[in-house]
Amino acid sequence: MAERKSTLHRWELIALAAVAAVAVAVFLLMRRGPGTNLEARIYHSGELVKTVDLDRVPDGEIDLPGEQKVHFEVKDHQIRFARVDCPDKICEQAGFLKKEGDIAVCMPNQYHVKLYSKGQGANG
Amino acid sequence: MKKNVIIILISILLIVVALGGGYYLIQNVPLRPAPASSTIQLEPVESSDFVMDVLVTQKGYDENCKETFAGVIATFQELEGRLSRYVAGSEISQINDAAGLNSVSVSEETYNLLKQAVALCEESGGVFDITMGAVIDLWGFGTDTQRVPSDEEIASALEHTGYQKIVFDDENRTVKLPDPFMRIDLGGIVKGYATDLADAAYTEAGLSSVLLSTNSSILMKGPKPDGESFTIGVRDPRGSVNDYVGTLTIDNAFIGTSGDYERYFEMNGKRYHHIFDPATGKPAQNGLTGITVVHTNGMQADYLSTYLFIMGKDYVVEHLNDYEIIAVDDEKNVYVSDKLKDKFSFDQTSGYTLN
Repeated sequence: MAERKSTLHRWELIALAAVAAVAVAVFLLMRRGPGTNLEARIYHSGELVKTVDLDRVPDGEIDLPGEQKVHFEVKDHQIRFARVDCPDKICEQAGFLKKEGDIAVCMPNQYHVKLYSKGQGANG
Repeated sequence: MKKNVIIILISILLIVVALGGGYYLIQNVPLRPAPASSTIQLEPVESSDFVMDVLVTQKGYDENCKETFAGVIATFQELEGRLSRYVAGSEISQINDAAGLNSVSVSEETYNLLKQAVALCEESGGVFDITMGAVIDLWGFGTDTQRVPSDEEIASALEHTGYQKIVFDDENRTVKLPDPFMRIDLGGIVKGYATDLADAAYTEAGLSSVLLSTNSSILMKGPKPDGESFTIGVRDPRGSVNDYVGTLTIDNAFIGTSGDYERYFEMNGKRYHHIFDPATGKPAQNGLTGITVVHTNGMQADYLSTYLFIMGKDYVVEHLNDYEIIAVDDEKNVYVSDKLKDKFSFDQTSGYTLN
């Protein structure tokens, strides 16, 4: 009986390479890089006005609809008060919030921002 | 052979997709909380409100938290309206506005609080004084006119302080300041007093797990439903608001904090903070940058944090175990009372030295 050939045909090699490329692409898409699993919750007068996913939102400034005096900046999965029109700037002095539970408060404008783990229920 | 190759390729692809998809789900899809089996909620309820010139936060786990929290905030708003000297028409403002003129009739709550406050002034030998308003106004903290006054101006303002001068009439429940320039300021005890009232409200409502913060006065009422105690950070006086020298884990306690990092301004490279030494009329500069007091009473914790901060490092270190305190000095040393050693977790990366 003749020995069966074990080498792959060209199309099989191409198919193998294509599948491997797709597999790698799928895996890289799923793996978005090092994430914090944190979200920043922005409150005005105690009411939640915006939630910022620190893993998805790109670096840059965040503005709130209708709000001229208070802005936020996101950088490297962290968030801080920025360009705030207030007399004491204590909010900006808090710097970037980076870990769960970090908080910054702007008393004159009645805003505060706090970091939570994503999906953590905190407001009943 | 061809079939084997195809099967292997498909298997690899499926495994990779499964792994990647699973990773995606773990990162982005929250787990549903376990259904509550009793009235104790596993997920906390949080409330945040601006009152008494601070952000007040409450975190609880019981079913009726939200309603009780709203009641506590209403109580705090009433307190502010009655006791703040910055609120026109408050009872303290009425007393201050009538200084040098006439007695003012006040509510039983305010009268009793003022009597308690004066008792603390006496207990402290005058180191704690609720009549520092003239000095505080001279420095202008938190206003557009904050400045470093001259020694002559400070000496002049100090003449209008002195808790002993307050005149109480128990029969008519009136209060009078004979000196027209004297001003009562209850900032050193009112937040601690507020936490006492909140604790009573929580107890009455049957809440067993609550963490209340008025920034400088905290109530840890626990443990949490899972049996763990609440944990708070002990502020690094030279770091940001989220930087700590360590953490404190306690089931039930009132916490009072004072430090030169709370309200201050800097001029010519020097920091001027808002905790005034009645002996000098200037911000207390006695070697401490921050102090945390643990107590069974909120007003006591608040008062002691101010008193001990003014008394300074030497006194605090000498009497460390007469209290339950964590003190931080201006040379980055941390001192902890023996009774708190098993409750305090020092942060080795804080840049401070634990003594």
